[in-house]
Amino acid sequence: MKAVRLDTCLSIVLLVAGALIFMEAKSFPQTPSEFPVWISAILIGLSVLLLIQSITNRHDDKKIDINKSALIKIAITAVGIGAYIILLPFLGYIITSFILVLSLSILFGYRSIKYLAMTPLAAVLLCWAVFSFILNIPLPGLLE
Amino acid sequence: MEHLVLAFSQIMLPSVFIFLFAGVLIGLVVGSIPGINDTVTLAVLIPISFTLEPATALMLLVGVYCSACYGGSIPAILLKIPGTASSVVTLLDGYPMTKRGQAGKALGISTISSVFGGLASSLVLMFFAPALAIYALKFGPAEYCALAILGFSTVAGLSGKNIIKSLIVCALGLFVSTIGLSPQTGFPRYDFGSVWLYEGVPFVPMLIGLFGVASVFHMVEKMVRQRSEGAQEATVPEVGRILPDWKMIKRLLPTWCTSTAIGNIMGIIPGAGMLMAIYLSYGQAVRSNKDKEFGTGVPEGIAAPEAANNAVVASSMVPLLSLGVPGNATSALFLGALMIQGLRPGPALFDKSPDIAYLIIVGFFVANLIMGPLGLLFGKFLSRTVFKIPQAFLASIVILLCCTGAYAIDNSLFNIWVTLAFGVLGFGFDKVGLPHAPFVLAIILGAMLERGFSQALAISDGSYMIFIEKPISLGLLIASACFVLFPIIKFLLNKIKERRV
Repeated sequence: MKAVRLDTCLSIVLLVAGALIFMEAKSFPQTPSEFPVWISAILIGLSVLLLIQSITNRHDDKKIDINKSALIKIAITAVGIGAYIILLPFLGYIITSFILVLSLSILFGYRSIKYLAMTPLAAVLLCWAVFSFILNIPLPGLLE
Repeated sequence: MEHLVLAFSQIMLPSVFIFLFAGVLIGLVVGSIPGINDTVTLAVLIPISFTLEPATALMLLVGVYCSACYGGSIPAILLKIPGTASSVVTLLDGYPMTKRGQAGKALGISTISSVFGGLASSLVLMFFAPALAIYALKFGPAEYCALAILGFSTVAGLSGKNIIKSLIVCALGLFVSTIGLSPQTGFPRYDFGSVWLYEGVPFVPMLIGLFGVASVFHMVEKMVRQRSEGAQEATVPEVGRILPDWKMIKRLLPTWCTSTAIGNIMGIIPGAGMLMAIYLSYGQAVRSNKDKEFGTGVPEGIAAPEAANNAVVASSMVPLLSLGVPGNATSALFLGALMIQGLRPGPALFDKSPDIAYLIIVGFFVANLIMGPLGLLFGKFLSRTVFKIPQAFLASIVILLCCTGAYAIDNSLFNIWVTLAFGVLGFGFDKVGLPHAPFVLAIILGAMLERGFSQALAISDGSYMIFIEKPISLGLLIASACFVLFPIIKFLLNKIKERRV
């Protein structure tokens, strides 16, 4: 993946975030807006300082190199968790969790077929039993 | 005193003791697993623990917190793989000792040093927290506002070269603290039209994301890197005799005392963190033993960081239990644990639930006593077993536990979204070099600052003099100024010295 200047990019992102927080805060009535306005002003000020520092000390500004393959796997994991949240009320805890653990184990490089057939289901059932029976926390049931 | 005696008798009840013992054991195991540390484990255990009785739940968490940071030293010494971030320095002299065939000796030094540091910090917690809490009962809004400012000043004063980034993280944490209904008027702020955010960002799911999910993302990255680099499987060396002899104990005693003192001070100061204590104490050990070549397997190189990191553990609970301000990220998780048990950390805890407050204090002391023999017995066994667990499977199970735990808090799918969002944010923070601890601290202090500031001004009819007229508030503000000015003065003095040279 192409290397990018870390602090320069970070300061620009934070400047935008600070500006957005400020604009939103200005739409609030006076009293509740005071604290967020101060925070956004501090954030903008610090972002400008970071930007100046990254420009003046370019040799100190590290480059960000993220392993592309790892990044893809992390993104898939995040999407997988998102899908888990959406499917949980429809498929119930056991089925959705089994799909999640199985697919993540394979994604992370767990290749033993013998274990893949047993351990994810066993782990999910154990987790479900602990939460449902020992801790008395209701988890979404099948097709609930 | 009577509360302490009661707490000791309560802890000896089998139903309570077994949870403390289980916590210590869990902490030892998870500490030995690279990628899983005390914060991840506590983040996952908090939702599980909230169905338990407060006493048993908190003992479980105390046990984990105490032993996890010691557990991290086991793979660091035996395999040159730090189990937790706090054992990075232990590795420098621990692994060379293992290579010389002194693995057992290194493990023994690590265990005794950890127990020494842990017991000393438990005593600090035992004596300072109740005393500070009595004092904190005098705190009003102005004092709490000044206390929050002191918290931010310590972050600024102790962040060294990384000061801008630490302050940016504080500002981001402050922003998160403003999400939800305004404390003065009840006006909803940054709620994105969602009623779920009216009470602010759910605290525990946020911590589960920041520490649990983000750590899994790191594990994934590490696994990919190791696979592409073709990393070889680690083999556990022979350990041999573990208990250090009396001569060694006498030799290490000064190092233990110095490192424990550093660890305790760093633990009490909010935002200072465990790593700073470890590096400071290692540096001090190097300066005090100039005749020894550190990094080649010097026992003091293990004793200093291990005594310091365990000294941080209980002492980081001093500001949390007495003032409601966590000393570090892990004690912030305790704040979450106390809150979901319906308890309020701070002077009110000692006032309204003294049984729980003193039980936590005594719990740290007893957990350290359990940790010593358990560590000596299971140390070598743990590293052999733990490394057989496939990291890929472990990572997927941690994700499941994080999601289930977040959901279980109030049966809300929204909590899992929060966990996911903060997991991504936490990973992003690490990638761009933004520290986590000031972020969590700022979220807690932000609410305290805004509430304290507005209430103080309401009391004083808008006069800022209230912050100076009250002696405690003035003292805290002066201390804040010292924390901020100290690094500046130090920098200027160094410049003057350089010019003279």
